[in-house]
Amino acid sequence: MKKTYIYLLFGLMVIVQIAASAQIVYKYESMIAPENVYKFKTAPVDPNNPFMGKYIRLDFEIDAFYTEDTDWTYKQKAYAYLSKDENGYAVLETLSKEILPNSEFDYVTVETSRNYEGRVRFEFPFDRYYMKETKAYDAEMLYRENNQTEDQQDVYALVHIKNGNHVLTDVIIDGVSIKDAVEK
Amino acid sequence: MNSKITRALPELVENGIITDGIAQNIKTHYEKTNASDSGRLFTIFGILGATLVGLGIILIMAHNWDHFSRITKVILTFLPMLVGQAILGYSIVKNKSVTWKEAATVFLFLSVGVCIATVSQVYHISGDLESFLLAWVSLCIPLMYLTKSTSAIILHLIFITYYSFEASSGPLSSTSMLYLVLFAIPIPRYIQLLKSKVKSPAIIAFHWLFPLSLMLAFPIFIGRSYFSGPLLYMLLYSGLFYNIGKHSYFKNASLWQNGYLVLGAIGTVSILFATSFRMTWNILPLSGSFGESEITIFLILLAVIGFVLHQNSKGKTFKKSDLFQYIFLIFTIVFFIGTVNDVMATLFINILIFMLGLMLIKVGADKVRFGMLNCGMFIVALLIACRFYDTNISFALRGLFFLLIGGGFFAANYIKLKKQNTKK
Repeated sequence: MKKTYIYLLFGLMVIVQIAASAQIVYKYESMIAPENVYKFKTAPVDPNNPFMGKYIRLDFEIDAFYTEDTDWTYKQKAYAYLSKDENGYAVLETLSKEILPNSEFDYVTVETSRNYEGRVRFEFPFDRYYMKETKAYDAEMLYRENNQTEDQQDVYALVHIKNGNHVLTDVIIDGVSIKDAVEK
Repeated sequence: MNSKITRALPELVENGIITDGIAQNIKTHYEKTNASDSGRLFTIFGILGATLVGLGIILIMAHNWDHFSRITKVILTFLPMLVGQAILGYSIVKNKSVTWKEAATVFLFLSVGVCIATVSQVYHISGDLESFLLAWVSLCIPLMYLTKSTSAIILHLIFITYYSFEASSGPLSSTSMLYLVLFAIPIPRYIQLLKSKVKSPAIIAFHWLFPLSLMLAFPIFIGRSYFSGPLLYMLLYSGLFYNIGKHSYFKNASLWQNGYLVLGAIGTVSILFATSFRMTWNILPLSGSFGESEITIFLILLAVIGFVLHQNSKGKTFKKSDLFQYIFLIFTIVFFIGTVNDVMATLFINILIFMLGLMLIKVGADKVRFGMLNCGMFIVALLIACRFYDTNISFALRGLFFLLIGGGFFAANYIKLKKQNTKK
């Protein structure tokens, strides 16, 4: 290969490698603003990924949409339209198969899991919260302990949603970030 | 060994066995070999060092240091990749040694993975491992051609195989086609290296890694159509791998230098044994159908095999006596017979294994190659063991079968002995 082509290919590769990662950073940074934040009630556990480390898997209280439409199938792409209640918690307004052009609500792209007796179950795409490896297990334990007592503590995920994009920024247990609640 | 020879040189010259000039030539030859060996060692250590540092950074980043702010984490995420790019850029501009280029390539490859993984971690992106591996491998494709790095090809093959494990499978699915495209990208470089006729350890590693990757990723082409599995695997092992292993390029290669031949032969025998049970032919028709996508893969494989056979016939390496080279054709016919008559298919496969074993014994005995002779005896012994314990066949039938084969052995020996006696 000619030297010029090598330089050209190298330059192109460097730009693509940086741009590919930088555009992800830009996409998520641009949506982290107080007005875009939603609170999602959760239930964490702690699996791990070989490259990205330990995370807690989040299940949400909002996990289904009630409808008389029987046409929903397994693993169908859908759009969950959300509003906020007076305390900032997310409320599911509707689940649509297409993007609603004139909707006043924010939406998140989801995947349906099953449709049983008018209850269409779906999963939110922000179900992983990566944690410091020494804290992930304790975070799960803390959540379980809190669930076993009668006065359950308030657990929710903070998710910023804008133009159909989303970014999970924190999980809060009783007003404290989960990474501070299990300080190690 | 080299030092032993060089130490013996003065004695050989003294006794007039070799001349002084020859002794000098031998000495220069071994000095050159030693120099290239130590250069190779530097490269290997360089690659190992870069791999360990890269993997160390992956693990350190995976720890997730939560007392750093998000922006600090993002900067730290990009740092290894930028350093890797700078080192590689420097080694290209300054035209540094192979060791530099290989080590920089490995480091950059791993640091690109670190960057994507840590960005996903910082923003809690739930993307699956499949899309992460695909993004990683795709961003590092130019590395294989930029510095002509062999370690970039090795890493590429390892990670596309890993991708195939994570990818959803299915005949002609987008992931299987994507794997094929990724697999094809380093092939021109591989062919270029083959044509250079240099026999470096990296090229020998390629002779194993290319077929191994294809073999391990092959389930993504089959998906859930288990029915076509044995046939497609037989085409891969006997038709493709074994025949590539018989190419004129590998004429003087030993077995460990010829991964295609070894994997092809082991795979062929394994498929034959798996289909030598009548039960297999009873289950197979219930495990799917031979649909449009299976036919397409079947035809693609046949076309590639046709090309390889054409090359072999040009190089005059196709031998009618080597059953392994065309067993896939016989198996294809038997396979379709098996869809309507399980007894016939079982019988044919058993005869085929038996013939294969005998062929290896005969060639091994003729050429006094004990490895081959033992392989043949092992195949026949395994076949006997499998059939002896095969509860699907009645005792009487099995007994008769064994009597006939045993009698056949006696008769063959008797005839051969008689012929030898008459010759005398």
